[in-house]
Amino acid sequence: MIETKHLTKVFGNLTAVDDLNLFIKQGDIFGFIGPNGAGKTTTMRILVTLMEPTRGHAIIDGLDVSRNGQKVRRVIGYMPDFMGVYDDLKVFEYLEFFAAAFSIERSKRKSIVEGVLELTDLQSKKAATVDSLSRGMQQRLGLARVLIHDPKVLILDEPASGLDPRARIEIRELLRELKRMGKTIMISSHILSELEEICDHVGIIEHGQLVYSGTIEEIRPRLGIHTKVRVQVADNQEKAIELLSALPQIHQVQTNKNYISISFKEGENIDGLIARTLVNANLDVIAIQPEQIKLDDAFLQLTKGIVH
Amino acid sequence: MTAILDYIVRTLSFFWLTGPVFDKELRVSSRKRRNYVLRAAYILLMLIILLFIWAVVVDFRGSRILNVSRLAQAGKVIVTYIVVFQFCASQIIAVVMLSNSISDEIYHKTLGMLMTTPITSMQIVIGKMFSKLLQLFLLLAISLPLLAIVRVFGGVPWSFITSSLCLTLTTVILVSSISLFYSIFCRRAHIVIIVTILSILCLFALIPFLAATIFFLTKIGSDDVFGMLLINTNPYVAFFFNTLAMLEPRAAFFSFFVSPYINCLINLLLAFVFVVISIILVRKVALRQAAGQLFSSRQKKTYRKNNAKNSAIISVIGPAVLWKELILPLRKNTKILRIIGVIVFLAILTYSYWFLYHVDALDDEPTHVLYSLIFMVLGTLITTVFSSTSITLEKESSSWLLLLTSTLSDRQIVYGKLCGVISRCLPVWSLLVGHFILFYFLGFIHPIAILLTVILLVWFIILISCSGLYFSSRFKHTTSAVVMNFVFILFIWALIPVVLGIFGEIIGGHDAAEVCFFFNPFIQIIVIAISTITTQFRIRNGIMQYDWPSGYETLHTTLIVFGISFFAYIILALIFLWRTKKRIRNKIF
Repeated sequence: MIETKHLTKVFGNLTAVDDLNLFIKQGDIFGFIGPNGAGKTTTMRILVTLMEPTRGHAIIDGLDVSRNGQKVRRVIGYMPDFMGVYDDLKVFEYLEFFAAAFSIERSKRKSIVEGVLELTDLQSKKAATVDSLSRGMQQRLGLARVLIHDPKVLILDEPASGLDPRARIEIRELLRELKRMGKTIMISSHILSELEEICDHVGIIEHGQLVYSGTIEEIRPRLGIHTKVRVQVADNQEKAIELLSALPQIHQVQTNKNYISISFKEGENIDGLIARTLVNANLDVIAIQPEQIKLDDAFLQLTKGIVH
Repeated sequence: MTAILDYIVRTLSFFWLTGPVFDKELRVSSRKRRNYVLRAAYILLMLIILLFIWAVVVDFRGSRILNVSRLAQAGKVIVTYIVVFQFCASQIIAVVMLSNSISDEIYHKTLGMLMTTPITSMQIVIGKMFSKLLQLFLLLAISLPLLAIVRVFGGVPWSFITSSLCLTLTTVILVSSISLFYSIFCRRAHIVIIVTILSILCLFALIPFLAATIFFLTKIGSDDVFGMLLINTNPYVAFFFNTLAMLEPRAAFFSFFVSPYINCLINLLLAFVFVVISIILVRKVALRQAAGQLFSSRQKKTYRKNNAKNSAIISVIGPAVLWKELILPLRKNTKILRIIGVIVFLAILTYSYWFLYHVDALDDEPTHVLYSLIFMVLGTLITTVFSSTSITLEKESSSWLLLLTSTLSDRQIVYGKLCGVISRCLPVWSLLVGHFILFYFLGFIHPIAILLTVILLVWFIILISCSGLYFSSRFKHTTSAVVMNFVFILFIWALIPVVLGIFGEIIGGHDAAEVCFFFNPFIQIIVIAISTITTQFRIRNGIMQYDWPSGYETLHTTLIVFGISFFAYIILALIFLWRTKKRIRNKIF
């Protein structure tokens, strides 16, 4: 649905996007991650026809964005990182204005606006002025706006930034609902743990270059990141550490207040070995739990934090 | 000893008054390219004026002896023009420079932050004001060597140079304080500029006019007392008479005491009042911002009230952009203020008409010229600002991206904006047409005036709307777009005729400058006003004659001039519109 081929954008001496090749399938939620200044927003702006690439192509729904700007705009819904609002318009008028801007027939506008208001749970606010809404409500209104012309592709630039935890969860639920509706969503965010929960695929970009693209599950083996388990013993944690450190299969043992964190190479079945070692030493084992790799860890390992 | 010396140095450095704000402002302004451009443009403009005066007064075609003999006269005229230019230009620059001095701090949310430091609100206000004034004083200082050299020609007393400089400086301080005062309330610099100009007009034109009419009608007090009050309190009148006294030293204008220095003191006193009020208000606004409140309780109350009143949702009818352009101004919280403003304006207008009727001046040339020019300037001001802000305001609020990613074509956006600007400006322009219609029905004006005014206004409104849209698409910030649109107007209808005039004088012909006069909208409206008064119009061979600066012309010639103006300027407007359409997707970030 979304594809970039050798996409490059140069501003003077600065290469903001450098030979970027992306592919996002229809119906996927794609998380676009990178440090500040990595080139996420520039890529998105090229995709939504706001910028021309210096080299390469960006294709959405089979349309080259540079050549078919007007057609691409019918297919996409773009929510920028800073949402622009017309302060003195009411919520309903704001959405109706964009319905008119997307050439939706006047007779259909009311029902469409009502529909997106219901979807984003903003019906009670339809007569409120846009500037009177809270940040979370404004973000929802932004989502309502991008849905007004029923686009196939949603490109959302940090939609959850600045929101409180409740509003973030609400936005996340809304995105899941949109995925169920069959929308292809490209979303950038700094809150990596959130993308982890909703994205099918992620792309990590740094210095304008894509350093990783794939599923979250695929990151670990590709990076050679060690699998971790948490071990909890009833008492004598020091003896347990001593025993486990001596095992050749174990890469690293870290102590915490209530548990021991053990990292080992992917593919080894180590749970039984740990249990046997500890039980044989007469230690009471409370729990042995696998510890999941966090997207934050992968992000830190993949990126060096270099910004332009 | 060191402590005492340190205390003296600190006291004399005025750091206690301005704080680190002054240093910061100077540092920032030294990095801004536009300040250097401004200085270069100021010098260039002064040079052009100097050349123009030199070319006119010291005739290049005359003998060398004749030229030398006219140096004293040339010196007088050059000094006069330079001080007048300084007086006007420095005030305009001061208003523009100070227009975002406090609002920028509020907008960037740094004012509340400053309140958490030991910096006082007095240091914020004084630091901001002095840093900008220092730059202005530098501009004024640029001309001092020139004034000193020209004085060698003779004819200009030192007292005139010092008094006019003092008047200029103190008036600049006054207008700066007014601009700074309004920048506390308005986020948009262009609104501050307009409100400051209107306030100055109100203080030094409207109130004196009303006072003069009341004095004339009631005859309270003597003429001398009124004249003394007017001249000693009004810097513009004082400057005018101060210059006149230099040009004609033998003429005794007044029997009462007049001193420009009294005026300077009054200016400083008024500026002091504005600064003190600003200091108090800045503290309030800053503390409100530091506490996370955007509006005062009174503003909140008004906002809620208006929000509740305007609960009806208005359906989008017609083109989306045009609908938005027309509906948004109606939604502002200043509705009541605007209604009061319109009522007050119409009341003053009616009163002025009644006064002119009372003194039997309804068919006087100056009456119609003055009204035409006032309405023309008012319309120009409003149209220039509305058109220049139509795109930049959307850029500043980030809504421009949303519009560009919709399926609206570039043409739909640009035409929607243009129609919106014209529709919003029409009520102001209707004052000018309404004036001629009213006086036609009263029998003072020939109906041809209405036709000519409509022809003039059609192209004029379209041209400055299109140029405004172009600058709005060209620049990122509203203030830059507004200033550039005003510069464009000054360039084509003031600077070009002056430059052509200089060349005309040098090469010995006047044609080019005279042609410019024919196509100047402000000259055209004056021609309409003075040539169509029924009691005074001139008829030769049964044909109405039109009083152009170059002499009388027939209706036929006048219509040709108006027709050429119409088509030429419409073509220019279309070029602007085409460039706007090409540019609206460029440099949007």
